[in-house]
Amino acid sequence: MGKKFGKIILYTILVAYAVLSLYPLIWMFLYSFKDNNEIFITNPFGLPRVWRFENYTDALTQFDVLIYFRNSMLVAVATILLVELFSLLFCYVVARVQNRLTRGLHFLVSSGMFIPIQAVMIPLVIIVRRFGFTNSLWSVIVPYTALGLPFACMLFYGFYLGIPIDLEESAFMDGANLGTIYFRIILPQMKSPVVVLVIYQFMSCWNEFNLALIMLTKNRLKTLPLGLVNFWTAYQAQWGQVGAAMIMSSIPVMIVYLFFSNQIADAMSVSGMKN
Amino acid sequence: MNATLFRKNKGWLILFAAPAAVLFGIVIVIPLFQTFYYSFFEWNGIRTEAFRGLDNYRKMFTSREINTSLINSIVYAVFLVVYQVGLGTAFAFILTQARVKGRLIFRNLYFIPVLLSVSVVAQLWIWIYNGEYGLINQLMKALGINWSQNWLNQKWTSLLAVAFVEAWKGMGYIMLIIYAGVRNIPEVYNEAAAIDGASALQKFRHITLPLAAPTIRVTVVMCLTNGFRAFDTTYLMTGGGPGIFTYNLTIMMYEAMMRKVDYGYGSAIAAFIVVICVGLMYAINRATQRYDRIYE
Repeated sequence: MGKKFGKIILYTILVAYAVLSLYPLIWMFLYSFKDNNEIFITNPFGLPRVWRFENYTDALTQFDVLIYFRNSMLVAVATILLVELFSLLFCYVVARVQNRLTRGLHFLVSSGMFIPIQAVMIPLVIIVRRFGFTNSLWSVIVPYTALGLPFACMLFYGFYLGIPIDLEESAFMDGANLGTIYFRIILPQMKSPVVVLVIYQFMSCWNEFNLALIMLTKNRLKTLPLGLVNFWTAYQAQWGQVGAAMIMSSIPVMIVYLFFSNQIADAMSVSGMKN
Repeated sequence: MNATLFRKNKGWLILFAAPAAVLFGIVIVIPLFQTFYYSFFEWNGIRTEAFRGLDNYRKMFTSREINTSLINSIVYAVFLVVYQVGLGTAFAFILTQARVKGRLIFRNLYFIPVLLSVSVVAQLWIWIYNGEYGLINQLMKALGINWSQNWLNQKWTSLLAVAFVEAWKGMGYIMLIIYAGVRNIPEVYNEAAAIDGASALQKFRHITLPLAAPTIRVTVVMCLTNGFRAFDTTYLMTGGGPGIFTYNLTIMMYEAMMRKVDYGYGSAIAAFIVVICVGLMYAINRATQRYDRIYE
């Protein structure tokens, strides 16, 4: 009897928290198809009486969603490529050659995990201004790449240590140089951490706000999170259209999550292994 | 043996390691030192800087906002720890129990808010909290309770309302980290406890909690430091207002940097945030060191 009762309480708690996590989003999804009258007075909770797809077309025409979308995509893709390339190679050296210099470098880069972004913000703004990056997406791509290195290193380091060194040695005996050895033998074995990093990096770039706010002041350079803020300050009164814009900008991450939820879980849990 | 492989390929090694090392140096390490350096100068980013010693720090500690900001940052950080680590540990424990059905589904559902952009979350909750048409007040009305609150426009509710949003958004992330830590606990301990007839609560108290303690400690550090460096949610939801009720250190820094264009002062605030974060990390690791030895 007591056991059954405990079970009921347990599932009630689990379901209650699931409702708390999801209901706001469902509410947003529903009001993105309603007009203000329905949202405010007649029908705040239920399904829309008429599904107003025009909210979405309005949002698309009034909101430069395509520009923001393109910017976010460019930033994410460029950052992912650079972080992968830089950290794969760097971490290989750090994992394979263990001396004072490489250990120092490894420690330095790893401790970057815990540095708040504010710590480097002002000098970065000044560097970017001085080198004339203010008019380009590089002003966020370069910092995102550097900020992505600590996590990437932590992730790859363990994997490299797990790859036996024999293959590299025999290839070396056959006269191959390190460049060939790395790209032919080592890199193909790194597929799974590479995928994990792509996903992790995509999510953090796609949603980053603070640095983008400081760096990207021109409308045509703004990424989605910034563009959305523009849109909702301009259309504060039209909940339906703003809701539609918010739903549209959340779709890419949701799709990624739908396909890769297990890899994302892996990626996220790596960040706790540290220390 | 492998020493020759790498000794003969020094050029390649340098080529491999240099890009990341140089980038990290230019974008993170040097700016970090510059922040501390600039904090001793009066400077607007254009004209040459003038050395002012500790003036910027004096200015910070005597400013009108500092007390509110510090208290708010502390409340915010503690709120994150209690909510995210508290619920995260509880759910991680429940969702690793083999008897519980639908574990993966719950884990994935709890994670969904983490995926959303902070702009979406902030706007969504601004409307949930809306004094007239907000979801909370509408729900209250539907339940027949006449108790509408202007959540974001009152002193204490505004700070807690914003902190709740941040905690709500990130709980799934913290839970997932603890979840991974709990899953790494070898099964034998739980089996042995089951043979001895331990209840779920006893297992949680005497096996899960102590063995997952290192992971939980990492999440406590993450939540505390996140609390002190949190900017986005507050900036978007209240901008530090009403008045200065939800001000915190990062908002102070943003104002110094963007509104007042006082980079020296902004750097001093940034340096203070760094010192707090690093200090907290160090303090927590020191304070819990002795527990490591017991369980390792």
